[in-house]
Amino acid sequence: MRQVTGTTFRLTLLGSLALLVACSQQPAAEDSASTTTAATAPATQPTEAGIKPAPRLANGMVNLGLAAGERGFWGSSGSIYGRGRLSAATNLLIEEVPFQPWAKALYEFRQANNEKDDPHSRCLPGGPTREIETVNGFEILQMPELNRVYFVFGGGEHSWRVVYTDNRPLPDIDNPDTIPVYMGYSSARWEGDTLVIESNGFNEKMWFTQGGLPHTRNLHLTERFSRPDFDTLNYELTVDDPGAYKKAWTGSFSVKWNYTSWDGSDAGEIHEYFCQDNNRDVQHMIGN
Amino acid sequence: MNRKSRIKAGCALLSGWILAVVAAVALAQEGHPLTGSWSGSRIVDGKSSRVLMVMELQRDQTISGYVMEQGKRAPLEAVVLDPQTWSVSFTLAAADSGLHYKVEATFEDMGSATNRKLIGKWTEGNASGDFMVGLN
Repeated sequence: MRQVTGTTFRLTLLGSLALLVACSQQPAAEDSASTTTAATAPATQPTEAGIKPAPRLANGMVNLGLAAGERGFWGSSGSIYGRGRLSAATNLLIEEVPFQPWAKALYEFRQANNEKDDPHSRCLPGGPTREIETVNGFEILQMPELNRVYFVFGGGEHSWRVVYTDNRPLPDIDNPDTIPVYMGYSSARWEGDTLVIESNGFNEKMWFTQGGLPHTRNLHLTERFSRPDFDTLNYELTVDDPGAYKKAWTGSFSVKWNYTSWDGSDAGEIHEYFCQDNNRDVQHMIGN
Repeated sequence: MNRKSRIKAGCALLSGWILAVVAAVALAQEGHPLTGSWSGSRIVDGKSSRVLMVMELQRDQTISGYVMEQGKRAPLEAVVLDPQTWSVSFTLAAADSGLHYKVEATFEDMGSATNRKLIGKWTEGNASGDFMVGLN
């Protein structure tokens, strides 16, 4: 049963990817009523204060991704703990995170060893939050007619994540047929202009944030994405994992829009990068 | 369905459930450092005895699991992890299990998901010996 479920899951992933590619190749003119990213409202203009408002899709919904006539992708981010730069001033300091004793000791162990055992440095997926934190940027593609939002990550293992907006329930993680996965199982809703994603079913083969915050299979994430202006994506994460934390806790950071490619050109496109290709990270991960 | 068939079906269901549980915890590597399936040996009278062990963190922060050795299976009792020293102790004491000993061990290469080990001693009365398992 587990093998069949796994095969079904892989087929579903492949099918979804095929849909993603097919949809991205549809000319906008063929579907003028579509609310995909191809059917966005005209390019946004800066306000008198010089702040560009968040773009919107043709149906008025906020567009968390690239707008027609624009270029770029989401780039630098902050952390859900600690303060300063892009990390929220209201974040918990690391010493305030409500770790279970073993999780605190494990986090400190990882820090004391310069994160030498980080699976992400071995090119394994890092879960949704870690992928957002990873360099090389990401894109968000809203496809409301498919009840999906895709996250396409340029860093690490160059992976992607699908979030469903069809009100599907999250799986029962105690059901042996629920295979724990890196990105978790995600179901999202819109609260005004905020995309709220609930996820569970994570495996324990990754570090779900930079720095190595521990988690267990009980991890439940609530992510809130909003775009107060064109150049800013606000990300708020509530971590609920009684296995690793004494209570649920929340942190947030901003992500900035990146107009240039990493080679400095103004194409504003994510370049091809695969961690697996010529990975020289591991040999340097020797700790103390 | 006769009694024999019911017993067969029950055994198949139970076996499937055990395999599913083992497979589920075998995936665990970066969470609680004890969670997962382990294999190794216990030295008894100078001879190596193959040990298989499954451990899993429960929601109440206790660790449950079992040891399989010499065709016997014993639940873990009183599993204690001291995260300050990364030392571990547990006992096998169930009366009908056929396995009765205490293990005191510490982690080696604790941060590694591929090379993590528990190395220490087992004791039962005046008998004792080495105990070593690695995370599968």
